[in-house]
Amino acid sequence: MTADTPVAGHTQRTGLTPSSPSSPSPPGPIIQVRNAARQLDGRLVVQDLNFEVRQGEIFGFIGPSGSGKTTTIRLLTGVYQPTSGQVLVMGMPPTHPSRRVHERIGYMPQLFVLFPNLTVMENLQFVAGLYGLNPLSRGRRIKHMLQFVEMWDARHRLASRISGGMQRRLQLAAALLHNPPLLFADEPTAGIDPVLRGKFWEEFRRLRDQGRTLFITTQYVSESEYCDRVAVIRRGRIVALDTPLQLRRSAFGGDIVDIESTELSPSAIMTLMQLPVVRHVRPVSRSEARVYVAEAGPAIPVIMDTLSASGCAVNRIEEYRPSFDEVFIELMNRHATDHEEEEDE
Amino acid sequence: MSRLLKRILHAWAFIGKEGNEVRRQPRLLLSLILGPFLILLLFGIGYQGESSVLTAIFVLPQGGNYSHNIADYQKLVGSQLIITDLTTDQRSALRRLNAGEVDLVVVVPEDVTKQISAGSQAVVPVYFNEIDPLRVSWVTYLTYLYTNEINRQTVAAAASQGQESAGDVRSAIVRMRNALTVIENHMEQGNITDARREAQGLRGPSANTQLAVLLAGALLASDTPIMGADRSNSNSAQRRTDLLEGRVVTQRIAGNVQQLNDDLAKPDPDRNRVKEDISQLRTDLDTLDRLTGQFQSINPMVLASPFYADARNTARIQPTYTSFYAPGVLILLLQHTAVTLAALSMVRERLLGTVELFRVSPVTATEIMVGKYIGFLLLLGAVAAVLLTLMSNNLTVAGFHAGLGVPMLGNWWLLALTLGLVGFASVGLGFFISTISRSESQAVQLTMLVLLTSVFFSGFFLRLETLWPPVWTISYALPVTYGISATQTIMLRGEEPRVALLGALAALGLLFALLSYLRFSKAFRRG
Repeated sequence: MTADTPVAGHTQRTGLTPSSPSSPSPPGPIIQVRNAARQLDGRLVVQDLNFEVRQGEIFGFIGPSGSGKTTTIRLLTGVYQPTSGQVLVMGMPPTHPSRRVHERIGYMPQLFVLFPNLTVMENLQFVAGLYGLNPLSRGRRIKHMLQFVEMWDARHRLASRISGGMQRRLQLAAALLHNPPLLFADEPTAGIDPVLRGKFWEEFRRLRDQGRTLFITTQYVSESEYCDRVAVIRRGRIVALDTPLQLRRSAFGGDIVDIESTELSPSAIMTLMQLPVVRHVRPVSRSEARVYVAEAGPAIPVIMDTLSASGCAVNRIEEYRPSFDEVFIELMNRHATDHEEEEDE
Repeated sequence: MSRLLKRILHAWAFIGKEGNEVRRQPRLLLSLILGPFLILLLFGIGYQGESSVLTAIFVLPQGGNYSHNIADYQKLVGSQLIITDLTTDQRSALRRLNAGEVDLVVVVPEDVTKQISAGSQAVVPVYFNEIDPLRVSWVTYLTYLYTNEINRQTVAAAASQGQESAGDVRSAIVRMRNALTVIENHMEQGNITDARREAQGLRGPSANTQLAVLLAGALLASDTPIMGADRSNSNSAQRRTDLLEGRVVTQRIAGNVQQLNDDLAKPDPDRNRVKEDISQLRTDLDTLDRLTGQFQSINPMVLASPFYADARNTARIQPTYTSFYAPGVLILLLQHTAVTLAALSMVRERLLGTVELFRVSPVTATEIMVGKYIGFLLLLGAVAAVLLTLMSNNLTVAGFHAGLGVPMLGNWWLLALTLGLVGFASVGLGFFISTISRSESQAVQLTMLVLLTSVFFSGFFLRLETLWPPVWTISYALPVTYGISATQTIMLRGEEPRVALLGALAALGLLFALLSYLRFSKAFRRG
């Protein structure tokens, strides 16, 4: 899958020359959210939302089911108006009636919402009409998008007769048909096989490399590492927002170094704990321990020297990179504990 | 690309989409076009339009001089009533009526002659067992019709008897003429006494002629108020003149007979005067003879029913049930199709979630509605064209006359305008239903309610005049009410429908469009 139409005004990571972009995006953050909250049926579904999305990044919005991801995306696309706070997309509230924002955003909803009785081609023709694409040139664009999602051969099939994965791809093609600089995708990889998920992310990164901005919600924590920045949401509040690397660090208070020695004596562990670069040591067995440090790079030589000086022969020492599942669980647990403490107070 | 062009493209997207969606559903297409035509065809073939034949048992009085031959009674009632049995057992006849074996039990009363002679009407009880009010009306009407027929036959029989009596008048005239000749002979021979006796014998026949003429005058029934009001009718005027002449002549004959007797009673009768009396009497008798002959020559049935309504339809076509109802069915089907498609389309958009997609896109509520309006109107235009072709006089397939033979006497542009307005108002009604429906089944239920209401209150089957006027509010809230009236006027009368009718239809369409737009745009509004 390749969508090779870059966005104007963007510093090309791929080195491609801008060709036929949508209108140039304004400078600064493409999305700004300030203290936004949304109430539905008398209940605050999201609150205290504060974040910015920069141009040309993949912004991941991760949270469990019912945490407020779809509500947030509806606030950003203008389907909902914030009950309080402010939401700006390309410098304008997305609920503004002028429609200028809407011509420049693509939206891939959580479920397949095109027309099952129309063919793949007819669905895209309809979407092209919705965005006012030139009837004389839209055929080329549709062909391009169908080739991009590898569905050109299926163009005459009814949307009701294609697989769920193809429906998601068709929905993605529809969202990108008008070449928007900003794409909102609400759980685009939900319910599709891992191979196709990989392809989707590969393509999202390619779109990002063309200069587009992508706001993507997902339940799959492991997909965080495909994002440039990630916000973690729980019960309608953002509990963490950073790059994936910094999130991992903040979840565990720094880097983790695993060591294996012939025998780790208690005195050797005590010595390690007294090192300034070490924050915490957790023995795993008589010969293994996990050491939490501020930064793994400078800390590893210091740990090795200290253990050698203590008479411990080091068989293995390496940085441990916890999975994002572990990071996510750690963040959730921490937020839950903080929240309970707040409630107790 | 200009803003306006973009707006057109937004709306056009919906036009194409709606067309493609319908095209992708062949069963829907079949039910839209072939289904209605088959309904029309079956209606045309199946509807007889004639009232059903009723069966009856006649209950005769015990004894009495009544015929026991069914044919004698069947002659009286004609073909709409089949007499299956004659009986004297009323209870058994009523049991058979309640068992559904027959439709009517007619009880012939005892002493009919006595009742009529006593100056009262003879009541003929007619029993029936019906729960259908239309059938009750039909039986009651038939009863009235047959009573009139029996009355007519009775009067005709009386008239016939009167004509036979008129034969006696003519005999009396002959006797009087002979007597006048005898009187003349007696006078010539100077036999005054015999002449006087003969003249006195003239008084009896003279009285008979007077009575007969009065009877004839009554039977001629020429003194009715209608006759009095319409003196221009030459036949009735002639009959009236004849009657007056008859009365004058008979009175004059009576007077001349008296005069003749008076002249002969004198001691020395004046022969010339007696001759004059006789001559005058002969002239009057000739006149009376002619009038009596005329009275006898009149058909007794004409005397019993002197009037015959000759109904003449001045419409440009002789209507058939198919041609009369076909425009109504066309409009009803167009309205139903439009309301259903529009109502389901909007509800489906909501249920599919596409409305959310529209809200994120640059399309507006106005563009969506305009696109859908145009899309559905084009579709309805195609359906109407097919239906009109199938209904038309000129459709021939492989040499066979395949159309329903419904005439189109009026202006095609006016018809297209009317159908367009019906479509516009009906799509608006459908959109309005969609804005108040939460599910597809709810929308379908509401469209069926609209269809039922239309069948009963639009004037399709029952004329609006037969409905309680406050109910007309419902009638005039339905596009089909205006559409049926206008289409029948254009197609069957070849005339232009009233401007107010089309204006009201357009206003109704605008009202529905406004209401549904307000509700839809409120639901569509972002935030």
